[in-house]
Amino acid sequence: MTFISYTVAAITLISLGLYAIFTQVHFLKKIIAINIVGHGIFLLLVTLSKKAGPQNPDPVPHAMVLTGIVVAVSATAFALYLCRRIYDSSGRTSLPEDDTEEVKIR
Amino acid sequence: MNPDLAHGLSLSLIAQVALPLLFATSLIFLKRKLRGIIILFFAPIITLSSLTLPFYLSYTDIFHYSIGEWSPPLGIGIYLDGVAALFICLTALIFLTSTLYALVYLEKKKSGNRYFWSVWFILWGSLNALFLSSDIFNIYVTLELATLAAVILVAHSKTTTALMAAMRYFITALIGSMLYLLGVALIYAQNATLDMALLAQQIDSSGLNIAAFALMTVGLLLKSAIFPFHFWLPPAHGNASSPVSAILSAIVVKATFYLILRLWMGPFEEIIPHSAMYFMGLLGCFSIIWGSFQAIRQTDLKQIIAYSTVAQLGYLFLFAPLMAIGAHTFALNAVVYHSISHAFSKAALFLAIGNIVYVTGKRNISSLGGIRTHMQMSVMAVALASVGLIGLPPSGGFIAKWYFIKGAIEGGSYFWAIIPLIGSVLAAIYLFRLLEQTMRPANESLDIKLNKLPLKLEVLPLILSLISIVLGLFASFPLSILNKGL
Repeated sequence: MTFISYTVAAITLISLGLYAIFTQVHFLKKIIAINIVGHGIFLLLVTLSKKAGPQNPDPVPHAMVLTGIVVAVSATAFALYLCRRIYDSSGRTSLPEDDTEEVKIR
Repeated sequence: MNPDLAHGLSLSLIAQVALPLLFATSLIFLKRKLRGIIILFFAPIITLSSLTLPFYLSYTDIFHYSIGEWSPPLGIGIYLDGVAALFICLTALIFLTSTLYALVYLEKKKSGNRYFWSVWFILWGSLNALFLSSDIFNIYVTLELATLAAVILVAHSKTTTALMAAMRYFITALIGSMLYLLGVALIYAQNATLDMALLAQQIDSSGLNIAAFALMTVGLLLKSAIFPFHFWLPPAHGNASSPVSAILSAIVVKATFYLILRLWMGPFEEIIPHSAMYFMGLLGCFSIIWGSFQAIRQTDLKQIIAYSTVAQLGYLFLFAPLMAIGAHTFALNAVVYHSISHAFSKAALFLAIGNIVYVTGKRNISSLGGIRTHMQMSVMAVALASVGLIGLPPSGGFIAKWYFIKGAIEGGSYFWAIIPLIGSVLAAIYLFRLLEQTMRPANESLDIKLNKLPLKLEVLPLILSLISIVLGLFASFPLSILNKGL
């Protein structure tokens, strides 16, 4: 039962995150959404380690989650920096929607 | 293979990853003058160590090595075959020429700093790691490392447009890696292993495996800029500084294609539905046609070349329908040779166009008039690289197209034989348009002040474009390495 509830929670997080990535335009919201997807996947991986047995869980998914968290933190840090640089140089917090707007920035 | 040789090869494989990464970290601590000299000294060493790999392959077909003697499924496996060896050599050669170019170019522009060079070599090391890895989770890590490094290099040119392009690239790439990681999690849930060779033995066509296959493929497609996911590529490649554009277009986008090739012709081969292969081929066709039309429409020099990358990447995905009609060997030969030949032509084009932008200070196609007399070698490089991209004999691009068409005809499907021909005609249109402009007299109304161009910057793109031609004359050696394990 716990296995199923954890899996459902993970899938919910992943779908919510994916939905937000495509609907939100603000950089910060997109970055947070990507992190939510990531954490959904990590939750799924941790849940998978239970399959080996309740007494001795499988360590490989744990190692994967640890590595994944490191990757996610560094990617988030750089995305935030990039976001800050764009705001400083142009005052924008979202990507241009179409070509005409893109030309204006140039 | 005798133990001494195997030991030497395993050390050499580790060096492919360790040398660039060690070098990248040490560069941070060096002063400007010393840094230039050290780079000039070490970049050729890394390249030479990469170029030895094909010769090891004359003793063995495929080489597996487990890091620290921990064999899969516990440890991480490293794996070398003909395809991996060729991609590593290609990376080494393109990186070496771009490094030499960037040393002069960034010095003139006063924009090269220690972090730029660190990230540059991290990208090199992570690409090598990606080509060698046989563990799908390890591939995720190397893929993220390569993406981060590539985005940092795009953002390095610091204009608002470049920063925006970097952000668009980064968000797309992150979504791609998340989908890939989800696929990896599902694969592990179903098969309890991450090693490609082990997966190939035990994978079955259960729903979870098919879903994982689809997620991983879509994630990688997002990163390889296939139509309709190509939107991030032209701004990112067009706004980066020229040596960066050269390596991005020549190698970095092909790294994700390489993974698709490895997964489709490796563990997933038995479970891919034929409809998916044809669909992949159609996406490739759309990329070729859409990318070429956009390239014809553009007036910005670097955007033309960037859209041309979208079109040329489309050919690579024609391997899938060729697989479906049973022409495996032709498909592999065609796409790998196309990758190699395109890498040299495209790097040459970006560097040559970089020279033109450097001299005239303008990026518009109308500023090309009259420059022919000032920079003959660069214009020559553009012309030779165009021959390679269009696929005229005797260039390497011609050999690749030959294999595409021959594979399609032997498989009995004329539709897939016509696509490369249409692509060639369209490529000829946008490239001749560029060449035609260079033949015109100078446009007086633009009032262009010409900067002086260092000779080194002129020679490097010419060398690259000559290699792309020579690849067609000496195709038997790379192809013999490629077909070793088959």
